[in-house]
Amino acid sequence: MPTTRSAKESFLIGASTIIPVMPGIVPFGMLTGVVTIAAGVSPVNAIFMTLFMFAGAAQVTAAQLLAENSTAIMIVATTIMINLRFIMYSASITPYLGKISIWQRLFLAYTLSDQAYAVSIVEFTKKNSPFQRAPFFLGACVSLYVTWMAATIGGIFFGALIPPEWSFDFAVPLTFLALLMPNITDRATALAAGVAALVAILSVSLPYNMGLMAGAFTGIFAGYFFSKKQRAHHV
Amino acid sequence: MYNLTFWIVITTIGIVTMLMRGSFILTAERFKLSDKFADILRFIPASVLAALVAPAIFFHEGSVQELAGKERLIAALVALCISYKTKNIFLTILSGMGTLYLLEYLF
Repeated sequence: MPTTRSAKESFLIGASTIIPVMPGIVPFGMLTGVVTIAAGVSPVNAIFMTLFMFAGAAQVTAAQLLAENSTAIMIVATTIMINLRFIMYSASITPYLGKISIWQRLFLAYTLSDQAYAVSIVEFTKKNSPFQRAPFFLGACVSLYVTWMAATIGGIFFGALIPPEWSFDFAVPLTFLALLMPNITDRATALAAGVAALVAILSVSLPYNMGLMAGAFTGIFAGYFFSKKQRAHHV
Repeated sequence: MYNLTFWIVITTIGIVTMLMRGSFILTAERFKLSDKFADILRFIPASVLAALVAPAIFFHEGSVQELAGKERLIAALVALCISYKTKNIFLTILSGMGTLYLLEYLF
């Protein structure tokens, strides 16, 4: 089926598909801002972090590790692991984009996000989608980016007003817990999380926060090998 | 020193994240993602987040002596149950903070 909508229309519809997911993004963006401040980052630095990274879970992680005085290498390695999923989105969405300019490609390389990917791939895999794909995806990315920035910067200012005696630093690990659960989708991922938590606790005395990496890697491989074995049994 | 580390860290993260987001978008499908890599990728978020959060909660020294300073561990377990039931970020944080305040108030 040929695309029947103009580029402008496709862009605007793409942008509007973000509206239904806003109830999830706006509070999470605000929380990211609040938690970054709670972990001890100054408001100005927090705004730069948000601009440079444009990624919630990674930003909360980096803030927490900065507060723990982790080494630079450890902080970079951990946040990169959390952001590795973007490679999957990038691989999955690119075949739909066709010929677009290098500037548009660079812009997408900065603004690709979980939600913009999710709403776009749903539209692109429909049989009768009338929209031009690149403008649709650009629209979704722009609209999510603006929403995220507004929510997070709002949260940064709000976070700066919360008095420290409210134990609000506890919101940081709670945020990780809340992000963890949706990633546990089956027994293999549950095993990965359990092993990672246990190993990280047992190896906490390793220098340079290496226990974090020890836990993460044993968790990943426990989950991977368990799922491989499961599949072997089913065949 | 802290400030210099901060700028190096966030600049590096920003650039590498952009390279990951742009991996296929910028190279326009000259590569293919291997299935094995995609399989492993699936386990990264659960493992990294669990390894990050578990020691922070488990070893935290709190102020409630009756609970041996482990009020945050209890609050986190409550939040974990709520998270499992609702999968809602806000309810999870609300229940965890609420339990912590309650425990601090009770003892």
